[in-house]
Amino acid sequence: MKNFLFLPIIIPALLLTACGKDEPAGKSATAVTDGTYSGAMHVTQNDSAGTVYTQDSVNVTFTPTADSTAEIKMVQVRFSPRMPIKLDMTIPGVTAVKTSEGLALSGDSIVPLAMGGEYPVYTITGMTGTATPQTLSFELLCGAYPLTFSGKRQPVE
Amino acid sequence: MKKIKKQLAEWICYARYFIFIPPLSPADTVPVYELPPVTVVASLKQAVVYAEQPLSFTSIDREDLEASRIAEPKNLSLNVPNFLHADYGARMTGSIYIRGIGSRMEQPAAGLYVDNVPVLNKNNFDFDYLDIERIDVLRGPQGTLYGRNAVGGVMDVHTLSPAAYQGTRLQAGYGNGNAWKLQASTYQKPTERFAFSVALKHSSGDGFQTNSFDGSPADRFLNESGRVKIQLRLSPEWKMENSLSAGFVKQAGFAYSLYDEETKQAMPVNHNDPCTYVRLGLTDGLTFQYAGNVVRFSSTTSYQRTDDEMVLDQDFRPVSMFTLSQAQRENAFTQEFVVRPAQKKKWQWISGAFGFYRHVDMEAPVMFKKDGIDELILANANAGIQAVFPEAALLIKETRFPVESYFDLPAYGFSLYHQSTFVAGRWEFTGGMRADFEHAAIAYAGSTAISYRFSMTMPDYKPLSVAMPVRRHDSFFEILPKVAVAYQTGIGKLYASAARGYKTGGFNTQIFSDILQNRMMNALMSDLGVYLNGSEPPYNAETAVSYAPEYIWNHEAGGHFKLLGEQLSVDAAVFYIDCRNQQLTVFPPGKTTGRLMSNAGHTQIFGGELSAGYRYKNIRFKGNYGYTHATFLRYSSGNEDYAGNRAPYAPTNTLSLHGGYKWDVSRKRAGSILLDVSLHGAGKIYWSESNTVYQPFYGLLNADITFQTGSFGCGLWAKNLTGTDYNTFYFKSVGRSFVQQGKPVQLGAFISLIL
Repeated sequence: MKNFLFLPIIIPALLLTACGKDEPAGKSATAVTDGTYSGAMHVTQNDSAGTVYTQDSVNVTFTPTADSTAEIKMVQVRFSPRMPIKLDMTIPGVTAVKTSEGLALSGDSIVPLAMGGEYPVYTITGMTGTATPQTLSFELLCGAYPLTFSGKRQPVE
Repeated sequence: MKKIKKQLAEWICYARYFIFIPPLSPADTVPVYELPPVTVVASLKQAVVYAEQPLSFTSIDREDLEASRIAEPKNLSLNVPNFLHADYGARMTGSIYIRGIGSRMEQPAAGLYVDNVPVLNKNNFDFDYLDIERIDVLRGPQGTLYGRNAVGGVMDVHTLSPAAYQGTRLQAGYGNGNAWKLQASTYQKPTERFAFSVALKHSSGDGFQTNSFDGSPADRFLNESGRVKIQLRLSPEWKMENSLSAGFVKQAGFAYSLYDEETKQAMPVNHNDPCTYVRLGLTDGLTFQYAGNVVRFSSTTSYQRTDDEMVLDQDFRPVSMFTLSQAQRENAFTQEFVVRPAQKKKWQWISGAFGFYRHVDMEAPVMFKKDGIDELILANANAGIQAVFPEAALLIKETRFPVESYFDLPAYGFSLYHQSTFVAGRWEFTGGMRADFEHAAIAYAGSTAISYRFSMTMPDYKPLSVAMPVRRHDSFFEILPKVAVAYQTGIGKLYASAARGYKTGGFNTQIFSDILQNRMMNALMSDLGVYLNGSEPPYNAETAVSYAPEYIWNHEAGGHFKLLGEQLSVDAAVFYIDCRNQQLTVFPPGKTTGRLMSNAGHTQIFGGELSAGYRYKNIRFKGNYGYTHATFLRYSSGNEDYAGNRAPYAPTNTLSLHGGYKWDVSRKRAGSILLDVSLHGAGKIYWSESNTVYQPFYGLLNADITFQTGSFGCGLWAKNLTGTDYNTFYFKSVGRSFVQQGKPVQLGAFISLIL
């Protein structure tokens, strides 16, 4: 009797599995999954000299979500050489639209998360970028500071 | 009545200078060597008396102990050259230094034997002397016969034997600081085969320091101790002795004063949380001895139980930073077998086997309070955060929270040893070796929990908990050899020896809470996503939890001489010690809240000792001088290179000069007046590896006058008559310097009665 109770679960599962097998091979090759990208981050300092602060080997974790959005977390970043601390900053709700190469990223008026809560002072505007299985790049305004990132995907340890 | 008169006559007959308690009659249940004019009770491990052995030693008999008012191990300091039992403010923390070798915490650097039982727990080393017959302090490593931790030397304590002495002794004394001392003991031998003794002692006092925070005595103490000893002759060859002793200590200790290193001035003791130490210790030692025609055999079994608790205001100031409560319960067993020949022949030897098991349960929570949370935990984080966000702050909801720590510390070990001495004419050649194995383990469970909030982004507090389980174990196997050669001259014996000693490694129990506190802070910052520069502790947390064994090679040459018709005895020695991995207590820099044992790279120690004793009619003189020059050949703390600096804590010089005179006032009534004057000094003592702070040489003048008639005695005594100011301890805590000040002028009176 108990085996019959599992049928409503098992049958849709089999159907879903079958659908997955029917997807084109090229599409699955461009699917962007959770991962960490490492690269250089540039922050324009908005001073009179137009200084750009570069931080190398910044890790950024990229997490696509089911509702065509993604979460981007910049790990231990410093936005200015004068910052005595490093921060984790998360940009939630980034729009992620599938393209032939991967995902096209965009966002505006996103309140980032840092230091345990929302961080409205550095609201993200004008965000654009792309994510592929191999690379991640984006540019945005973090508050009033232009920020760009370009990195390569790190192998899973 | 006749019996009492007869005994009294014996006392008078045997009475020696300064004695107000009768000497022993010849012993019949403990090994005794008659060496005119004194009677020596020998250790089970010594085939011949120390004066005939190639080693450096000082023996202090009951006469000396009472004349010098040596009532506890700290009083023994400076009566022995190059020996310091330091007063670090509590009976838990008294550390022993011999020839520059010592240890402020964890494993002791010297062995302590009481009635042939090795005392395993360093916390029990500082106990009230109660009817002590003799103390032998052996200097230099005695690892071959005494094993682990006898790296600096051994203190061999023998209590009065009821089979050797019978009578009832009553003593009472009072001194300034409201110091009371009451002692009662009886030694009985109802039959030729059975003897027993019961001894009790009480001492208490208000001390000499006042906590200016609330006006309470900062070093008040109460000590109770007792001992019941039974001696049985089971057969002509077999004897049995059981000694059960217990001691209770309750004190307000750790009376540390804030110290200004510029002016070298100590502030009044001032702390708002209690500093106390309570200990209940119990030891039972059961010894069987067989004395056959060919060999002597002994078996010594002991059980040792210690329950103690230390409570510390660890900032030692009138602020609510953090406190430590450390309670431990230890159960330990030891077993030792010793075999040696019955007769003194050309080949003298001793063989033995030793084993022990000890288990310590320790609970040591550190309680962080409001000031500590703000200054030690949040200050660094907020300084970094507010450099970016001036209006923001990291907050912890609790006004106090504990960092819980539980330790489970089992250890066991066993060893085999043998030592032989071959006599060839005037020459003696000694060789010995010990194989020593030890296993130690630690199971640590630490945890803490707080609620935190970052004011800029978090409207509510968020709970955070951190746990830190640690399991480690370590084994040590060591070979401890000794070689010596001696030559008998017309006036004494010359010797040269080399011996290896080792102090076992272990675990830094007092750094775990600091590591856990750091992990909690790192977890908090990681949870918050904020990373500070320099947030790591100033030590490697992985390696800091344990420390390695310390090894020394001691090379020495010396001699024991009798001159002027044996009225003048002289003992001299020079030594060179090569010490590797010397274990040193280190307070990590900055605002760390713990301390740890660190292995210094390589230390070189050389020095010398000279002791002389002179007796002529009613005059007696004793003098001891010790010199120790201990230098780091290689030692880097990680931040600083201390090579070339002097090793801290041990005195460079120790000096004691002791003179006494006895007036026979009335021969009919056996009346006499005994005057005793002594000077004790020590220094320079460096307090840190950087050698920037030190205690210069200081001297303490003591005097004692006793009136003795028949069985009644009374007297006056004084210590530190000149009121010398000196410090016995220095340390840094949370970046501040503290000292333990030496005791001021002490005056007292006593009476004694022998029944």
